[in-house]
Amino acid sequence: MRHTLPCSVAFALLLAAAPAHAFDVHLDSDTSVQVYEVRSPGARAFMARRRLLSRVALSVSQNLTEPRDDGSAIRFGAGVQLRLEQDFGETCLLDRDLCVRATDSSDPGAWQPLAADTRLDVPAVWAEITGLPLGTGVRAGRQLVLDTIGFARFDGATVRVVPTGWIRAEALAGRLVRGTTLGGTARSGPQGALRLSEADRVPWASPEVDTWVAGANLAGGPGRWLQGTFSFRHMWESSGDVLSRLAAGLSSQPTAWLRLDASGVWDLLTSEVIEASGRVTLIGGELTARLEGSRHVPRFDPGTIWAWFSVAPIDQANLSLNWQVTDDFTMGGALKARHADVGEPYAVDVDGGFDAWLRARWEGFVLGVSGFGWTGALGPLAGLSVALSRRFFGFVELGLDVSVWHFDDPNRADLYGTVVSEVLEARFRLMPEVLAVAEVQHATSRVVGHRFRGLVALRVETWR
Amino acid sequence: MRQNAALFVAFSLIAGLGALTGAHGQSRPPQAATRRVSLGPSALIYPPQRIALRMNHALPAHRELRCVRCHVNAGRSDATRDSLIPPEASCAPCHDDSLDRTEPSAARCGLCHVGFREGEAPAASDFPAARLHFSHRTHVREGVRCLTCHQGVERAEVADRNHLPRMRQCFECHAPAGFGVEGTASGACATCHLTLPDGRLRARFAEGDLNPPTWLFDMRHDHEWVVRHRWVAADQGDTCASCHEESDCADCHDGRVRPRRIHPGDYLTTHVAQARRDQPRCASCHQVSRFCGECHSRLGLSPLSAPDVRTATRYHPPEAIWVRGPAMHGLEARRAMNTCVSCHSEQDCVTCHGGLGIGAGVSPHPPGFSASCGGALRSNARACVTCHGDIDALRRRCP
Repeated sequence: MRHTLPCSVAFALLLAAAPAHAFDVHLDSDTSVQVYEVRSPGARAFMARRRLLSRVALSVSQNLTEPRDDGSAIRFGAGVQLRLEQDFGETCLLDRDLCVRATDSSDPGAWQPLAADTRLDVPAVWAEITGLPLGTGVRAGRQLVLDTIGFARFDGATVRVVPTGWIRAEALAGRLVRGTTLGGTARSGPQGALRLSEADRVPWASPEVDTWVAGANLAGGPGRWLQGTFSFRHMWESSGDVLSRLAAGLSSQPTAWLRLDASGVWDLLTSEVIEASGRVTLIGGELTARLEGSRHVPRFDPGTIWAWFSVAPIDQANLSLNWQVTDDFTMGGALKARHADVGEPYAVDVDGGFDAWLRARWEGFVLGVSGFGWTGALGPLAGLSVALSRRFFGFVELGLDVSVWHFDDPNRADLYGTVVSEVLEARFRLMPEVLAVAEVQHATSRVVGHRFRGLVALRVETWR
Repeated sequence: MRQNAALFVAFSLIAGLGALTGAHGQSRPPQAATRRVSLGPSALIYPPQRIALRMNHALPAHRELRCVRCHVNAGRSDATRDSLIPPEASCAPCHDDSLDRTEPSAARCGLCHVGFREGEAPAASDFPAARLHFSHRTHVREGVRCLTCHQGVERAEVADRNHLPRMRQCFECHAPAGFGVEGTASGACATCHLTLPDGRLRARFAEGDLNPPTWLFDMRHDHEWVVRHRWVAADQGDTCASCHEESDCADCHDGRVRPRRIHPGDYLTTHVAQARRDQPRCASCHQVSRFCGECHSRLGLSPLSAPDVRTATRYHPPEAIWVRGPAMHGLEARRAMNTCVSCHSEQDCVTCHGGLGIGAGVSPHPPGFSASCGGALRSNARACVTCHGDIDALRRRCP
C-alpha cells in the first residue's frame, strides 16, 4: 500500500499528459524479461530468476515565450517515470526437492526481509520552468542530482541560476529517497544503512526514518584555461548527520593538446579527503595519452558502525595510450598500479596490471577485443573478451561476444577457476522508434558448471 | 561444448550470409569516391558522399575564379539541404565545347563526369545534406570568407567532405560557455546541431550515435570512458545534459539489466574477485547492503539467511585461521569493507567487538580515533551507541 498511492498518481500524470497536444511529448520505455539461475558453490539454495523489468518515462516540454535573440525562451517541462520489477522465480533447495517462499513473512524458516517479488518505484516525478531572467530555472519534485560528491535522489526543489556564460550556481533541498520514501527504492541511499519497515521484527535493521538533504553547486571560470566546480552537500536525520561533504574540481585546457584535471571530496564528518583524482591528458590528432592518479576511501552511512571502522584508502595510477589509427581502427593500452595501505600490523597491498583494447570495422563487421590482467597482493585476475557484430538488411544487428576469465578468491577455497562465456545477441530495429533485443548467454566453469541466461527486451522511444 | 559449437556455427553461417547480402546490396560508388580517407569528419554529421564529378579546384584557371562565380547559390542558402553544387551552366563560358550534347564522348563528357561511357547516362552524384543548421547567407553577411571554413579546398583535386568545416573551426567564433571567451557568435549547441523538441541534441542516428571529440573537455566516449566519465560528468554536467537526460545515467547506475560492458562474461561467478578490489566500484550503482545482501542471504551464504536455506558450510576459511589466526578477517575488512557489508549486519561485528563482546579490546576504529571520537559522537551517536551502549559514559570519554 505504501507504494500504491504515489504510483497511481504518477500513472494518472502519464495518462493526463497524453492528450496534451500543445506540448512536445517524449515517451521512453523499456521492458525486459530475463531468465537465469543464481548458484554459488557450497550453497544449499539456488535462485531461479524469472525477472520482468519495465520502465516507462514520459516528459513534456513547451516554450512559454517566443525565443529571444540568443535562442533562449521561458520553457516549461515535466517528467514522470515508473518502474516495475517483478520476479516470478523461486528460491529452491538443492538437497531437497523443495522451493521456499523467501517473501512470505509468515514462514519464519524461509522469510528473507530484504527479498521482494514485486518492487514498484517512481524514480522521477518533476516539473520545471527554465529560461527565467538571469538564466534562472526551478525544478520541483523527485529528481536526481549529480555532482563531484556523487548521486542523490530526493523529493524537493532545485534552483539554478546562470547569470552569465561563465558562472552557474545551483541550490537544492529536500528529502532523500531511500527505501523509506513513498514509491522510492534505496538504490541511491548511503552505503551500509538498512532501514526496514519491519525493523521491529528484524533485529539487525533500523526503522525507517526521513533523511533530509541540502546542497549547493557553483561552477564556472574565465575560460578554457581555468574552469572550477565547488559542491557542498549535507544530509541529516533525527539521530544525527548522515553525510556532510565539500568537493572541488579544477580543469584547465590551456592549449588544444593539453588538458589538466583535478578534483577532490572532503568528508567533513571524518575530516579526511575521501576522493581525489588528477589527470594530465595529451591530445594529439590520432594519439591520446593520459596519466592519472586517484585515491578513494570507501565510506558508509555514519548512522552505521561501518562508517567508523578503519578502512584502507585505495590509490591507483594509470598510464594509457589510445591510438586512432584510421576511422575504422582504434587500439590502445594502459598500465595500472594499485596500492592500498591496510595499516599496521599488516602491510600494504601492491598490485599491477594492464589493459589492452582494439576496435575495428571492416566490411560491415565491428570487432572489439579487450583484455586485462592483474597480479599482486590481491591475487591473479585476467580476462579476454572478443565481440563481433554486424548489421544486416539495415535493421538487424547480430553480435557474438566470447570472454574468458581467470579468477581466484583467496577467501573461499572453492572459488577459483577459468570461466568461458558466450553471448549471442540480436538487435532488431523494427522502426526508428522501436528496438527489440534478444540475447542468449552460456557460461561454463568448474565453479557452477553450465549456466544459461536468456533476455528479451523491447525499447520504445518517440517524440510527438 | 556441443552447444557452444552449435551457437558458433549458427552465427558464422548467419554472418557469412550477411556478408554476401551486404556485398550485393550496396552499389559501389564511382572510383573517385572510394578513396580511403583516414580520420575524416564525422560520417553522422556529414554523411558519405558519392562524387561522380570531376572539378579540380587546384587548377590555376579555377583558382583565379571567385567561389560564387560557380557556386552561385551559396550566398543565398539558409539550410544545409540546399544544393550548392554549381549548375552546368556555370561551366559554360569556359567549357562550352564539352557541353555540346550532339556528340557525347568519353573525351568530352568525361572531362567532368567520372567514368562516363558513350551511350550511358552519367553516373549520379549524391551529396547528402549535412545534419546541421547552417546559413551561408548569414556567414557571408558577417564577412566570413569561404576559405575560413572550407580550408584546403583551393588545393583539392576533388572537393569532398574533408573540406567541410569541423566543430573545432566553428569554435573560433561559436565558443560555448566554459570553453573559452574567444567566440563572439552564439555558442549554444543548438545553433548548429539538430535538436530534439526538449532542446537536447539529436545524437542518435540510424548509422550510430554522435561521439564528442577528445579536445572537447576530454569527452570522447572511448574505451576508458566507462571509468573516466564520472569525473567529466561531475565537471561538465551541463555539456553532458546537452545530449543526455537523467534516465541515461539511471539506465546503467540503477542496475535493472546487467550491462555487459561493465560486467562482462559470467559476472555472477567472477564478481567476487572484482568486488574485493572494489573495481568497478560497486557502490556506484548498488546499495551494497541491500542489493548484494538480498542475493547472498537468499542463497544461504549470509548470517542473515533464513534458517531453511542457510548453508551449513563456512564461506570463509576455518575459524581458527579467519578469526583466531593473525586477524585475517580484520585485514579483509580494512581491505574491502563493502564485501563484509554485502553479507553481514552490524550485529555480527557488535557481538565480538561491542563494548561487552569477547573482542571488545580490539578496536576496529582507525588509529587516533579516540582523539576525535567526540566529533563522531556529536555528528551521529547512533553508531556509537550500537557498540558502546551507555551514551553518557561515551560523552565522558569523548568530550
